[in-house]
Amino acid sequence: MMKNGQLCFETVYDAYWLEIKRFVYVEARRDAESAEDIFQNTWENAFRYLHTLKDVRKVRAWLYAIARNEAKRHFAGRRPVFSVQTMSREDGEEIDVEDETAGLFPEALANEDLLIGLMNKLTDEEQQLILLHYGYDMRLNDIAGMYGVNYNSLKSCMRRTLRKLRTLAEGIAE
Amino acid sequence: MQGASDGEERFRAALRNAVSGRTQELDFFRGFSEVKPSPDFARRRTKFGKKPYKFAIFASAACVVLLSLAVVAPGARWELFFNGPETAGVPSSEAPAFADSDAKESDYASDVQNAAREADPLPEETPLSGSESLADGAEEKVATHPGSSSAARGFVLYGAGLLVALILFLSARSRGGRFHALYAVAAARVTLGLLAAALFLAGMIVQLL
Repeated sequence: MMKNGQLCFETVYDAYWLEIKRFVYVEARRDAESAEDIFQNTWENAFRYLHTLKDVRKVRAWLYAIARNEAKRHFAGRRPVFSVQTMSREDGEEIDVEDETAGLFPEALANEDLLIGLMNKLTDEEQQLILLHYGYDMRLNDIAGMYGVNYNSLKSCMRRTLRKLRTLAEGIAE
Repeated sequence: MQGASDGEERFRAALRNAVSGRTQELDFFRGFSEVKPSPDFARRRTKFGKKPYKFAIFASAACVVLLSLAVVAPGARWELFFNGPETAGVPSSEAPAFADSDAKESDYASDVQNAAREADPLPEETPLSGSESLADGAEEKVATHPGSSSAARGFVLYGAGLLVALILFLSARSRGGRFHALYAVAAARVTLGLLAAALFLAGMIVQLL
């Protein structure tokens, strides 16, 4: 993996290309062409600046950061691909998701197989939001900035999606 | 993440496991299948899907229909088409041996040959000046023979069938582009195979009639 103290790009690419591609695909779910552009630009920048990476243990986080920035740059000034209106019907309410999610994760949501079935019942946008926030640890602020949507609206969406998940999980449990 | 509850952490872990377990799929869940890029990003999606197969099937069907029409065409003289131009006036001595033997089996063909000799006798000891003169003579006889129109019709129908198949196949390949090159090859095989089968069956039917 190391060559003269530097990471070999080919090795890094072979190790992370699929992971990054999936992440980029989640980011640009509605637009396959955008996903392709973001993926290509991510690896172009990785190739260009790989020699500046000082801590090789952070290469994965570094690649994710590049992909996030590329997605943000790609979607900047464009029509939002993330339609909050289809998810949110009560945009007036402002809820701090991070502080008020304690009761929204019943035991059923920790079941991997059950979770896949529950995720299938969500809309595309709800799935994307859950994946980016909980699957890839993206902050809601970053997601809102990337897609050009209101942060508070996004929080409401997240809250509503979690409620929906909980309701579905409880329905299955009963 | 600070402040996260146990339930949230378990949810995160379950979600990550569910996603990472599906290493072969880009669309983790059913909802993402709406827009699914090909596994290789170098490939681009097209809206034509597997239509080359449909083109191939349509082309083959068109060939079969055309051949059927040719077989049942009223007044078709298939012996002219299959036995060659010697039955339409070319002397048997100049025709190939296999064609000559076939022609003798047909009363109609021998009648045609006799009529042709009477109308335009060609000395057997006089060699033809060249292939050009033979071709010209044969062409004239074919043009004046009553069955020549059927032979020409058969050629036209065969040619039309082949042309339709070729055009449809080429259009399928050009529309499909690089992504559907494999489909196009498969479509070509299907088309040519069905076309050959149709030709064979048509020949069998004509020989039996």
